[in-house]
Amino acid sequence: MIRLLQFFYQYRDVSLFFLLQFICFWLIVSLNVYQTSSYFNSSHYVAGKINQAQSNVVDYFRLSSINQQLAEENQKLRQLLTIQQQKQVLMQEAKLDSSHLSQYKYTTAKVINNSINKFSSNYFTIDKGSNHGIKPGTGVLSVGGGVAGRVKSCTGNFSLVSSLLNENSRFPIKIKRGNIDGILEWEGPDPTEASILYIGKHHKVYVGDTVITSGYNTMFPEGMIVGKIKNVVDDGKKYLIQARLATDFTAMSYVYLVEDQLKGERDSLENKANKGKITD
Amino acid sequence: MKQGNILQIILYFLLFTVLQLTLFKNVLLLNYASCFIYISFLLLLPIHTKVNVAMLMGFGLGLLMDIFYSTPGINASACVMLAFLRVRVIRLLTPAGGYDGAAVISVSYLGILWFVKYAALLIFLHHFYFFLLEAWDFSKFLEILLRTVFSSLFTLSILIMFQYLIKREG
Repeated sequence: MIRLLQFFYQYRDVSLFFLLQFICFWLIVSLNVYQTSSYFNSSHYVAGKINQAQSNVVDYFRLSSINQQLAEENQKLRQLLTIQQQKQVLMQEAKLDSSHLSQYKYTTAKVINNSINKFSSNYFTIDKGSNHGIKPGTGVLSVGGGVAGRVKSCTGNFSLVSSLLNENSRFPIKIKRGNIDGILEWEGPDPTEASILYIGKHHKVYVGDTVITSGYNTMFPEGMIVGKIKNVVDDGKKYLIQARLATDFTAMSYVYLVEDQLKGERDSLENKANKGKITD
Repeated sequence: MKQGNILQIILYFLLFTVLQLTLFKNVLLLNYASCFIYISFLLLLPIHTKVNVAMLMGFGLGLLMDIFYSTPGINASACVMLAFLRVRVIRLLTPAGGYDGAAVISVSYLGILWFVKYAALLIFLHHFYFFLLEAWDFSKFLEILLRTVFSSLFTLSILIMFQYLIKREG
C-alpha cells in the first residue's frame, strides 16, 4: 500500500494529469449525450443571466442593424395586413373556421447566446422559458421570417434551441415550384448553406427556387421560407442540391416562437392511425 | 512567486476570459478559423509555475469556458493537456544560457523567435486536440486539420499583437 502511494507520489504530475483527464472524459461522455438535461449547458441559470447581461451590452452596438431588421419586418407585415384586409372584405359573408384562424400562436423572444462554429450541433439560448408557456418541440422563426430551429429544452426563464445548423436535425421541406417534398440537412461547416436530400430524379429543380416548410410536421405552418436553392448538381444517380438559408445565423437578435394550438389533436389522430385503431 | 506575478496572473485571467467571452466567442473567419485567446492565460504563466498548479488552473479555466460554450469537459480536457505539455515545451526550448530566475514569458524577455516557437507549438497542439475531441470522429480528419491550422494562426496572431501592445505600454 505504502509502495503504491509512493509510486503515485513519485509520478504525481502524471497521476494528476490522468486524474483530471479522466474527469474531463467522464464529463464529455456522460453530459454531451444528454445535452438537454445537463447542468452544464448555457441555459443554466447563472450562465443564462451572465449571457443575458452580455447580450444586452452587445445589442447596444448592434442597434442600428436590429432596427433595420425590424423595419423590414414591419414593412412585410404591413403588406400582409393590407392583403388580409382585402381578403376580409371579400370573405365577409363566408363563415370562417375560428379555430383555424388562430391555429398558430406567436411569441417573441430574444437570443442571448448563440453558436455557429461547432462541428455538428449548434444551439442558441433564448430568454423565454416554461414560465412563458414555451414547450420543447416548439418551432422557432428568425426576425426575417426564415426557419431558425426548434426548442430542445426549457428551464423556467430560458430555452435551449437546436438550430438548423445541427447534423442531428433533419427537416422536412418543400420546393415551392412543383410542390416537391424533400429533407433539409446541414452538413457543415458553412453556416449559410444546407443540403436538400431525397428529391426524385424525375422532378425538375432550378437554381433560385424557393424552399419552404412542408407542413408535414406540426412545428411550423406550411409555407414558411427556409431558403433558396443555390446550386444543383446531377451526379447521374441523384441530385446534389445546396440551398442558401434564409436565416442569418451569424446575426441573430430576436426570434418568433410558433406554437401550433391544434398540435395535440393532430398528433393523437395520427398516433391512432399508426397504432392501427383506425382502419378502412 | 513574487507579489507582482500574482497580480499579473489575476489580471491576465480576467482580461483573457472577458476578451474570449465578449469578443471572440462567436467569431468564425473563413468558415474555419475561431480564436481561443483565453488559453494565453496558461501560455503566459511564469516559467517556473509547477506543472500540477498549471494543470489545476487549466482545469478550472476550461470548465468555466465549457459552461459558456455548452461543451462539458472538452475545453477543460484541452486546457489540462496544454498545461501538461507546457513544461515539456519550455524544457525543450531552453536557450543556451538557461532561463533567468524570475523569468516571465513574454516577447520582451525571451525574444520574438523563442516566443513564436513556444506559442505556435503549444497553440497548434491544443487546437488539434480540442477539435479532435469536439469532432469525436477521425473521418473528419481533413476538416479537423484545416480548422486547427486556421484557428492556430488566428489565435497566435492575436496573442502576438497583444504582446506588442503591452510592450509599448510597459
